[in-house]
Amino acid sequence: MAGAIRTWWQNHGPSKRRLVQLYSALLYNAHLKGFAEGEIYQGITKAVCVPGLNCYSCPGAVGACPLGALQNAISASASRPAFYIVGTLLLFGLALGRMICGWACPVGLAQELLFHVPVPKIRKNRVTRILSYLKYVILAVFVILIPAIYAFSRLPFPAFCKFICPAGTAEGAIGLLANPANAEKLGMLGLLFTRKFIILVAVITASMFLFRPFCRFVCPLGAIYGLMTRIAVWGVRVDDKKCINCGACVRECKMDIRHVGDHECIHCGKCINVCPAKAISFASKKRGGKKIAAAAAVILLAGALVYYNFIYSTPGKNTPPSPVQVAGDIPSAATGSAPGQMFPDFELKCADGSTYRLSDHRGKVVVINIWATWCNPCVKELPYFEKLYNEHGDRVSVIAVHSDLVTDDVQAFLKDFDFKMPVSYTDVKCVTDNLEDSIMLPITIVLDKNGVVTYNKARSVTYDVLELLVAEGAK
Amino acid sequence: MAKKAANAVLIILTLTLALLFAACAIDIYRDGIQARRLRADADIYTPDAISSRFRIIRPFLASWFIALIANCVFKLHGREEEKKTDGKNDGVPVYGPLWLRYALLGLALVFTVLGILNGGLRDVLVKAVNICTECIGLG
Repeated sequence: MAGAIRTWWQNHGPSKRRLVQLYSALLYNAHLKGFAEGEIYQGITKAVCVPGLNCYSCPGAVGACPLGALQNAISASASRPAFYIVGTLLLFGLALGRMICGWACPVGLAQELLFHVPVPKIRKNRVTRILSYLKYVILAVFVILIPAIYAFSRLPFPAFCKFICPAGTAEGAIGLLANPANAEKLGMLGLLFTRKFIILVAVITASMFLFRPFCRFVCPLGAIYGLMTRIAVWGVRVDDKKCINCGACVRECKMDIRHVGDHECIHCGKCINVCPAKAISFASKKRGGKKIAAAAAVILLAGALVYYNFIYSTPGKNTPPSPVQVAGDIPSAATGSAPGQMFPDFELKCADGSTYRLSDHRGKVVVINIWATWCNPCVKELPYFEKLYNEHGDRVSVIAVHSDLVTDDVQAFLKDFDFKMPVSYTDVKCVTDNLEDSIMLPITIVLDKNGVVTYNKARSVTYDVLELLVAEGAK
Repeated sequence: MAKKAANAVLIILTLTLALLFAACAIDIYRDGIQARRLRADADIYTPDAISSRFRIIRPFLASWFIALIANCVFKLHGREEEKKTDGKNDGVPVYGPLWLRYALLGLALVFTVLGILNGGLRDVLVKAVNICTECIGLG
């Protein structure tokens, strides 16, 4: 019986590579309860990059996306060099090269599964080979050049994530917003999402006709690893003494390789079986220790699934709300950040040394902007709040609250701007703790003259929208 | 003949579906922009707008799945293994020298440690535990 099962598994079961791909996809996204709750993981392991392309805004993600982290590090390079992410990418690239693409990338796995859809396939040809260099152009322009240019004006601009990345659209945007708990946030979708959704549809469709089109033509992460593939420790190797240059390996391969192990090779190992001279093998193949490694991997995954889904709890969840001081004599039961509720009173130290107490602004419409230096739309819309403050300061009170507690970047950032409106970045928890969801930025909150919330949404606003919201708050 | 017809149906349905998805997204956006002309903070994507468009797509999606399953069950598709390319091997690759690997490995370790010390690690954490709406294509 066991023998029959083993034979069936060998004939019909997934290959070792497929199992590793599924394993890594599950390990990267071990926070499975995030999909059910519609929330992202906010724990410490998010500081560590995973080797493959996996959006860190995915509800399941437990690590950071190396490509997103690289763009943000380049965007912040005016204040600190991007040592950490460059070092991490070098380590991944030197260890595995493009083997990561073939074995440990969820986006690659998704494309390979889509390629099983039984439509006629477009084989690699001269055009696809030329197109395979497009990813180096995308790497240079969208990942390095544009973020670097915007870094000078202190405007974070992860251009690849913003304009292209289908993983961000599928995992981050659709993964989050498909949850009914986030239905309210659908309103933030606009032109950007429409464009990226079309790109996602194009990638999915192309993946049915072409083998891994995103990896071959677009992915800048593959381009980075491709540069290091010839000095990587692991991967397929050709024994030049045995090789008879028959080309069987290149014919078998669906990637645009010129020879096994070059910058396009994803080290899937399919060529090993077709080589008549047995000249291809995996480098650094150790004889023993496979079972120990497999057992360790299973224990690691099981531990991750238990920790992220049963032990870890989202900050602010399952904890009783802290007692809040209420402005005026409104009953405390009505306090909160939802529309119709009384926003709890708070007192903040501002960048100019003054103190901002919410209850002091009773009788005015209050506009609270939650922002961060690393958030591009936040930075772009700050001037609208400044304009609102300058033009309607007599009847509108505006305060910009930086959502992150780290102050060094904010101080340096504010030096480049001459904001007259109150900006606070220290001890802001008295505000952010009152928000049900303060991880999605930018947030605009409008309070009427009595301090009751009339608007609280995480989305970008324009000056016209602000004027409209203020007019409604003043009614 | 049956194989060619089945393939043609699946291709047409696949491409139609892709075009429909894209067209619906554009349509929702166009309607949303009209709504925004009347009111500056009007939502572009609403549950109603999405579900009304999905009702149009649903029959095509169902047909696509039926065609896909029929194609697999009756093995109407050609075997992928039969379609090999005519590529020739350009010779074995030249592997980089070992000293370069170790030099870069040392550099990578130094960079990683420097990055942890200069706050780069914290930057990655801050960015990863928060959601920049524009960065993931929300807007």
